[in-house]
Amino acid sequence: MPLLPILNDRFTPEMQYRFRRSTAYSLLPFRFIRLDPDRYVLTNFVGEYIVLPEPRLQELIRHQLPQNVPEYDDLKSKHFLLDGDSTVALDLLSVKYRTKQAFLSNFTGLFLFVVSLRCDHSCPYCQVSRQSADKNAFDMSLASAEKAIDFMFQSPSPTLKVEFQGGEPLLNFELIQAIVERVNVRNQHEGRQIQYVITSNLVYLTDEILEFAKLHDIVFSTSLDGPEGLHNRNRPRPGANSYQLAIDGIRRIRETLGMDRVAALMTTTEASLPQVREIIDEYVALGFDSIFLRPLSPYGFAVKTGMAGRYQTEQWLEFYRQGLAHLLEWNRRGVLIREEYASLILRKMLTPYPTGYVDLQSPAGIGISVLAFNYNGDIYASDEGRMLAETGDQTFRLGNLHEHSFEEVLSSERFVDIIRATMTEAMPMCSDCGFLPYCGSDPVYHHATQGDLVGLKPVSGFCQKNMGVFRQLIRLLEDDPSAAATLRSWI
Amino acid sequence: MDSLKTTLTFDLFCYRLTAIQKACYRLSDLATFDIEVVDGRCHVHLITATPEESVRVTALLRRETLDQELREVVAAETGRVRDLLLAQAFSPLSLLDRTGETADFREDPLGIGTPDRIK
Repeated sequence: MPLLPILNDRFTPEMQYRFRRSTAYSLLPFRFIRLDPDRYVLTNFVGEYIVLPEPRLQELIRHQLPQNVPEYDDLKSKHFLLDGDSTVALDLLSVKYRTKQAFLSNFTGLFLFVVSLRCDHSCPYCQVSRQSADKNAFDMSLASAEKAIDFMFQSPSPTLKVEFQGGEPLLNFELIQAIVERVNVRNQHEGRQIQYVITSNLVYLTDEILEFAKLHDIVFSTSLDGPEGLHNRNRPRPGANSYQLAIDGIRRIRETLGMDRVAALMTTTEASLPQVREIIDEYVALGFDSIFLRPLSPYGFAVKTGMAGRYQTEQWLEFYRQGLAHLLEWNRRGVLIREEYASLILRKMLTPYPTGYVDLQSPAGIGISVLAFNYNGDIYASDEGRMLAETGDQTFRLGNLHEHSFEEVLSSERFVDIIRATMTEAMPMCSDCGFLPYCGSDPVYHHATQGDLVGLKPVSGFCQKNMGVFRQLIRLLEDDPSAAATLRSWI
Repeated sequence: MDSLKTTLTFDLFCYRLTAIQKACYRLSDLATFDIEVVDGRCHVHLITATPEESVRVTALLRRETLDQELREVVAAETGRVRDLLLAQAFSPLSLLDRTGETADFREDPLGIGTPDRIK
């Protein structure tokens, strides 16, 4: 048989690859944590993961892992080890890390305008709202709004999201109109990409508001806690008809603006815990393609009313696990609905891209991904920091629109100290945690619950919650092929 | 209720002190720990409320210390690479292959056009 011509003698002969020598390898940086009694999750610092049984982890670290086991190639391709002279793996890792941290270069892009603290609801888990007839006491002034617009445009971010918050922001719709019009005029020469969101209970939604929203491409976010009985119990208002008004509002927004122009959020109360299936079924019945199963935040009035302490993190985790199972069941039946928190985390686990989710990044997104302008002109590092302030704790107040410039606020010692305290890479327990690439820090939570920005992680509800969610998602990805396929579609 | 004190001893030839300290920290929701070093041995006194908790925490501490020691091994071996990767990720210049990224490609500084058998 004639020999094939040598097309390119720069390639090593095929025989070279038939018998793989047991050459030495170098470890690349990684962390690990137990998934269950027999298995570990290993993550590298760009978030790629692999699950290994305990003996394999020991072999890997002791440089005794044979090259002919399937895990070897996985570990090599995911950059947990290096066995040649090439620096390609190092180049790829640094590029991926830079991509993961891209949120840092754009700086703050989300601005919350609290146009009114007034609200007709008296939700016991609410952090901020006021039932007041005095319009001047709790509404943002036009002067503060104009200062806020100037402040926002100081950000270098090419995309700016303006989110109108409350209380109930539609109670000060005139100011929303004024802000949108001024931002649009200003943006004619700024050339940023602007997005608007109104977070509302939809009680005061009118045709005029809908027309304005249509004209300016404004989307809505509302609260929907589940079936009518649960929703109305969680969100009391005069007439006990919060659910019906929310449903009517969702329908009208969809009819006028389109199906995808309104999103809904739920908050888990003690009464929600036994009803996760009913809550999800409500979202499915209303045609939503996602649901965010959120625990209650321990700030503001939620603490005063005792709502924050009525269930433990483990109870919420069980609620979440059951909810995830029920959502996967809906997907198996052909109804596409995802869980938003899982989607965020899966994006971190399975793609090289950042999510922009404030609480799951290091440094945390407070101030550098989001800023909140309160009705009175005060500037807060996050919405939760603003909520905390409503009960007298001003730790996260960075300044006031009428007194401080963009540079003064974002280079202040107070702000830098807060950011410094959110670097998980330098936190006790976090720095060694296998889940670090997926997690973050929530200084407001830890300050509110432990009186410390970093917090003692072994007793942190934030840590317990996130570890529980990470473990559940990785178990599903590893052990349940059907669930894994669905979860991958949620990214 | 009286608390219960149990002592575990670790040989510092086998375990780094930092690994033992980190293991104690990680379990600090379950027990109180006192750490003392005497003649190359680390004595960890753990204080729990009940004998059952003592048995449980002791087992967890042994296991966690092994995990932490392995983490220390990985960190020691990969620390310099990690620092290089971080510097590379945030540097406008290539720190890994400066020649390859800045030289004239026609001069083939990396020898890409040279057959392996000649190299």
